[in-house]
Amino acid sequence: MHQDAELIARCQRADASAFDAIVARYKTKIYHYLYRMTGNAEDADDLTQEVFIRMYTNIGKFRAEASLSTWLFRIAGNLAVDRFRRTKNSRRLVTSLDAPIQVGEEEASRDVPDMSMAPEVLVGRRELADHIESALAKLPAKLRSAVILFDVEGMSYDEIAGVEGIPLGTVKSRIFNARVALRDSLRPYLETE
Amino acid sequence: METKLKTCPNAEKTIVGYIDGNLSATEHIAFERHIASCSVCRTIERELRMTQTLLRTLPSVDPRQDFEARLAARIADVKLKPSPWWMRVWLPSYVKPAPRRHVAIPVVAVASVVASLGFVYVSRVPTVKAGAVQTAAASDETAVLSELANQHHAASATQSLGDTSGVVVVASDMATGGSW
Repeated sequence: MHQDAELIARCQRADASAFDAIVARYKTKIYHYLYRMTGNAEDADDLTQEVFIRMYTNIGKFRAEASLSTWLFRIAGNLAVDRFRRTKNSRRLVTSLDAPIQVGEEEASRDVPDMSMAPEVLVGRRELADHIESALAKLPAKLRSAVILFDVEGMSYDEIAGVEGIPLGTVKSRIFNARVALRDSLRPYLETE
Repeated sequence: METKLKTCPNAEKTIVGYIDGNLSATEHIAFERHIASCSVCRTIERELRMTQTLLRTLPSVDPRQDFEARLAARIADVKLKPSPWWMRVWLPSYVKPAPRRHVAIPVVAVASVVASLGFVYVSRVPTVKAGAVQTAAASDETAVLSELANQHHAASATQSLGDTSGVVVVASDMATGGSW
């Protein structure tokens, strides 16, 4: 945190190397969050670039009312929501697990994993990740953001409250509701436990 | 299931806090007692914990290797704008290295107090001496005071010059022939 403050102070003295250091420090975290929010690498890459461009152009006005991390994730979250609204591409993100997939000119049923396998066995399998990502994409953006920040990015409730600008109780409610919705989507993987 | 959940007080936030390890010791024990007898909350807690486990299996993803190069190209024509000097100097919430800011406040406060005390002390000493001299000069007991001063001067003659008490200064004045 102290290092962040130093980097910001240097940026505010127009030290470009400090900006590079901030990018190196946060690019993977922000990209990872945006990848989970948008569901695809192209949008995540584009928005992550945009986050740092916004930071670059606004660093002179940044105050220490929030941490650098909170500020960057807040920009990222707002950009993701704006992107959803502007492009209306939620259709592309949400794929029904029951819907057939197109193979050439024919349709084929989806490769649903063997339900008799425990989740631990399925860890690392791309198909499980696809199902989880699909379940995440079905969530409303607010719930998705809260659960990603906590369960994927490892933020605390307080940090999420800062990023989202909501009370602590609302953070807990959103995480609970997100997990309930995800549980319903991923139930086939849960019932074998 | 969710209808029943609503009958359990604060179940949502408590379950989330329990799974995430954010309950106090008292709340934790109370909730463990609760789920021991409430199959609805127990099932939800188990399923949500498993859901969380699944979420955490998502693989990490990294940005492209040329991320910085492309970013640099996009901001090549834009210069970092330094913040106005007055914002950095005057706004207390403005970004400064945190430890320095925390240290600076008490240091400035202590320095101010010390400076104030020093000013008061310096301004009072001559006033007291002058007042004492004038009062003594105007008094009918001048002779008595002179005698006392002479005695004190004799007694303190062996003291170091570092003694800054007003009496010593007065005695020194007498020793050098200065008027009271």
